[in-house]
Amino acid sequence: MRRFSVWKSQQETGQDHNGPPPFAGQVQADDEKSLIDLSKKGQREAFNLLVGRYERQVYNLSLRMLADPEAAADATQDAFFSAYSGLRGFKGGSFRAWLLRIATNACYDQLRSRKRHPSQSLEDLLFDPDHPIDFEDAAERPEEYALRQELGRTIQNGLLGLPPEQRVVLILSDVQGLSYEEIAEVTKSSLGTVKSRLSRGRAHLRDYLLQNRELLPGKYRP
Amino acid sequence: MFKHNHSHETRDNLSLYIDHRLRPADTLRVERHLGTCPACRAELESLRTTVALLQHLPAAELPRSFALPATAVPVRTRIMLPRAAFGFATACAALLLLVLFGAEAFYGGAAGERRTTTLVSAPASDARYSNTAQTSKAAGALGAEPAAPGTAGTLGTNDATLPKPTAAAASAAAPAPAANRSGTSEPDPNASPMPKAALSGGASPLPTGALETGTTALQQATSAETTPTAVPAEAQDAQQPASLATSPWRTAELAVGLIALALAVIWLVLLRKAA
Repeated sequence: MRRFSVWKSQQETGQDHNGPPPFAGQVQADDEKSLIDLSKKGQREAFNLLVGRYERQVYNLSLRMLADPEAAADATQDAFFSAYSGLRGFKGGSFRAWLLRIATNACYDQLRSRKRHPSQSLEDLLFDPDHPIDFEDAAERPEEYALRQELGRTIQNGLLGLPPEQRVVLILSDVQGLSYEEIAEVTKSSLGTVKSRLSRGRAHLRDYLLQNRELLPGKYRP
Repeated sequence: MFKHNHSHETRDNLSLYIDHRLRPADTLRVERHLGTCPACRAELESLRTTVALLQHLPAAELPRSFALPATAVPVRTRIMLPRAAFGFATACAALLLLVLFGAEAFYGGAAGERRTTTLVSAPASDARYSNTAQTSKAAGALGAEPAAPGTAGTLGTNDATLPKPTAAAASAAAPAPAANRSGTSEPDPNASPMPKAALSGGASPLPTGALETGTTALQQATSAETTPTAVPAEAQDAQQPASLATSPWRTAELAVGLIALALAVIWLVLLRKAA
């Protein structure tokens, strides 16, 4: 697990990082291209605006890929540090696809590390019902909330059973709503490969859900 | 479980149909088929439900902000050189290795020929010096001092320096007549130098017989020494392998080969990590 020394020292001092840190300079540009250009010139505040736009998506991708909140947080932080370091390598096109590509690689690194040092079983990776990660909707009834939590766990288990290349395509397409073309850019594969992996991933997840339909809430059983 | 056969729509087509990614003609065909095939309809519905479940999966809450802190400086934990650079460097090193091999074959072969020529001609030059020694010996046998280069013209000017035929000269000149076929009269070893009519310039008559004998002896010595023998060639062969082993070509090839190998290994490792 990579850690930058200064960042770690700030964590130890208990500095609050729940919100974006205040910056001294006035960042006038709002559109993404301007933020990217400013970030390339070394303006960290501009880059943090980009982080604010995409951190939720990057973290959710990492979480669905790894099924471990701590590993997902590490992968997300690594992805943004790598993006900041390698911003000169972004030559245009979809910044989201470029960023998600970095996040996908960070997730693959975590998966490889997990293979080399298997310290957790699949059961350990299951979401703890006493500590849900999904947000709580005030308008939602408790039983609906519980059902949704259970559904989330079952689907996550089904995703974990897929090969990583099918898993990432399924998450990008059906969870995050990316187009085929953007997924091809993220995964550095052809359009045909994306279609094939998506089709197989959906079918495999469908088969898992059918085999474990008793785990699904009643109204969600296919 | 849904079974695929030629009368049903493929899973790929149904997946594309869900995402509205089929061509219009294919879309019409699938819809027409779905109207008549319950199995494909069930397959489509199960896939649609699965997609819907994924789409409605709630987003997880962020545990914290991932904004970069003010004092954090990203430290590169590894060399972030592009993979393509290592691939290019490997290709250049391999090309350089091929150029070195070709240059060694071209220039090294020519140098080998020059070495061969030099070693072969060395005995001839040695023979010249040997001939000089032989000349000295022959002249000594004739009882006279050897003729120094450039002083041949002086032989006829001083009767006192003229070699006089002796018995040894007679035995040395014995095989000479066989080599001397120029038509000149055979020398009479026992003949004493006879004064002849003065030549132009008042030169005293030369003892041609003794000179021819000495010349014949010189010719024999020269032919004996210039004949290529096996020893110099063997010495040459013995020298060549030793020079090739330490040639600069081989050193350069070894160095470039090791560099190319190291670059190739690094490139393959980077490719594997990126995969």
